[in-house]
Amino acid sequence: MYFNKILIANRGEIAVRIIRAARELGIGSVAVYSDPDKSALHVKYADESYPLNGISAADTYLNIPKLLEIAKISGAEAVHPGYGFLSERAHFITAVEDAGLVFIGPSANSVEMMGSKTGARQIMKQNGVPFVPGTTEPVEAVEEATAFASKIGYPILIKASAGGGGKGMKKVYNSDEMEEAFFSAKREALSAFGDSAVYIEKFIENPKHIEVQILGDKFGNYVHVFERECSVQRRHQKIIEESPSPVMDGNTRKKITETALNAAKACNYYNAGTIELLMDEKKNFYFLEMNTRLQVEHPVTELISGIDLVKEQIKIAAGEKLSFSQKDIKLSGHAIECRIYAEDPDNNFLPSTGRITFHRLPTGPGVRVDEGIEAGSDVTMHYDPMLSKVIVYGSDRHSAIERMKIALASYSITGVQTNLSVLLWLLNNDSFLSGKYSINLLDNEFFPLVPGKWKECICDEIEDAATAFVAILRDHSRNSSNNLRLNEVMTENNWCNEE
Amino acid sequence: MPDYFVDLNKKEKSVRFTAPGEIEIDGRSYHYRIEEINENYYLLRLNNRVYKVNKVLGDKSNSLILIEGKYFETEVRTNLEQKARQVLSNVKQKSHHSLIKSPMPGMVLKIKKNAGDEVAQGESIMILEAMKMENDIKSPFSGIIKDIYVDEGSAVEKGAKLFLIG
Repeated sequence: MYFNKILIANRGEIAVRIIRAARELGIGSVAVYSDPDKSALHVKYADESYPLNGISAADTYLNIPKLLEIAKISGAEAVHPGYGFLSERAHFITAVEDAGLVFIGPSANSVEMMGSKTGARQIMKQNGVPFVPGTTEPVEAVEEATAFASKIGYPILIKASAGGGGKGMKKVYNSDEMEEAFFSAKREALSAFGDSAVYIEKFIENPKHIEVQILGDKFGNYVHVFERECSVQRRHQKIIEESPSPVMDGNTRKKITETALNAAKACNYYNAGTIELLMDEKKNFYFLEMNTRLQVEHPVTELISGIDLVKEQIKIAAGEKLSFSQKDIKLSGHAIECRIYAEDPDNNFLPSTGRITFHRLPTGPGVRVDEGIEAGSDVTMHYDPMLSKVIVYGSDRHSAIERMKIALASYSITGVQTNLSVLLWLLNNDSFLSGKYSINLLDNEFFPLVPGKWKECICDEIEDAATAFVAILRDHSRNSSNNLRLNEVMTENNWCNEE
Repeated sequence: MPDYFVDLNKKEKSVRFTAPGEIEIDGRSYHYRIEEINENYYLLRLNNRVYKVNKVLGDKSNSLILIEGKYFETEVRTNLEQKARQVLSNVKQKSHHSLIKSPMPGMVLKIKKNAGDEVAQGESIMILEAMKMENDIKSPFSGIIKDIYVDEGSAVEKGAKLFLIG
């Protein structure tokens, strides 16, 4: 037994994912929840649940004294932070350990070294890891930002030092745009991460986002679990991820995985971590940042390697040695993940809030769903609007894509609008299918078709089905004695397609 | 004469119910069957093909539906409603006021324009913060800002009046 019980300091799909892993290992799970989450799936799913009494993230999932108090009351022996929230806060790790608990993640020291993106850049520089030209220190004044930008040349990116997920990130094309973007980035960084520090980076044209999953134990053993490609992004938020990258070759893979392992060793890393890289069209790669936590897209790596990363995290935290070495890890097949967000694609991707009235998951061979919601769940404006992740496995990329199309088409979700249609559009997009897409895919090919035009390729058959459906329902509500104009009792057999 | 007019992602279709279980859409005829599994989930058979249809949001006349991963914003009008709409749209063209409503609940972070300012279609007019992201609200119309109903720092619900543009 690794632990008797663990506390999960998170919510949504990742909390559910961690509870599942704990359950498989025979470990009890303790969930926590804010007021708006009191009937959320992770709360019902856990063995025990405790209220954090509050609404804002600062009062609840970021409230360290409350979390530690619950850990103590519940008798949890370890804390899993998930991703986001407190997962990359060194002082949280210190507080957990000072309370006599085990943190399921890296050491506070590693997080401190890597968690500040500017600090990470300095370490990479010392270790000869290539990185994108930019400031290695946070930029305090807008004048400083403008001066540096004119030195390295526009366009540039302003990024939050403590950040991730596109929050606090702004692209600037010329000096006129600098002031507004600079302060907007600082405000977003402050509200999302509690730290307004930002830095500046040269913007690389049409890069791919490639990342390497690593695992390290507390005895200095390291392995990588290949790369993921996460270039399909909107507003710097990943929406489709796959492993392996469709353009990866053996030589480049060898180089990037070596770089990743060096980066991990440079900060004495243990547990699961990810080294994010930008790769240009000539397959030159640059260190972006290290994520000292589990990634949202970890399932694609699990499917192509057969390794359960969350269970490994728990075992490593419990002081186990890695039970496999690099030569034991084999890449097999192809996996793709689509993130399902509650949002309105034609309305600037604004989040769509409301109550989930119906939820029916896709199933079938090679289909996995990591979900954070169920029918009756409320999608509120307080937290990230990601509802679930659909992950598929296929023997090759083509079969994985075909599987994903069918899985998404059979996903039923009502009460909020989602990005399902956009994901299907992407899965039929030539650049995506060729594998030669960059992080600008949506900006270059999707956004010019917003609003509405991107939907025009929909076939007549489905349009007629949609038309018939709403007309029949309206007609029925007018002539309610007419009983859906059915007039016949339907049997199961009536639903068979006739040849 | 069609029985109904249906807007499908703003594209108009005409519908006739020709006989029980028979429907004609823009002149194309189908046999249909429909079964309500629950109020959000239906099975629809058109000729020999079965569709699983989700009613995502909405009421009798306006709804958002999901079929095979594709969303359709729909509006259904009876013959009479179609005529009424034509009359109304003529009236609407004479008055030039258009209201911009909040697309989501959030907090008004910044108002970029003052009453009396001219705005172009697609121009950013305010920043609304929700789910920790700053969302640019763009004007769907060109015109002069006649009125601003919110202040910086105020919380707004979905559908709250933001600007009147004339």
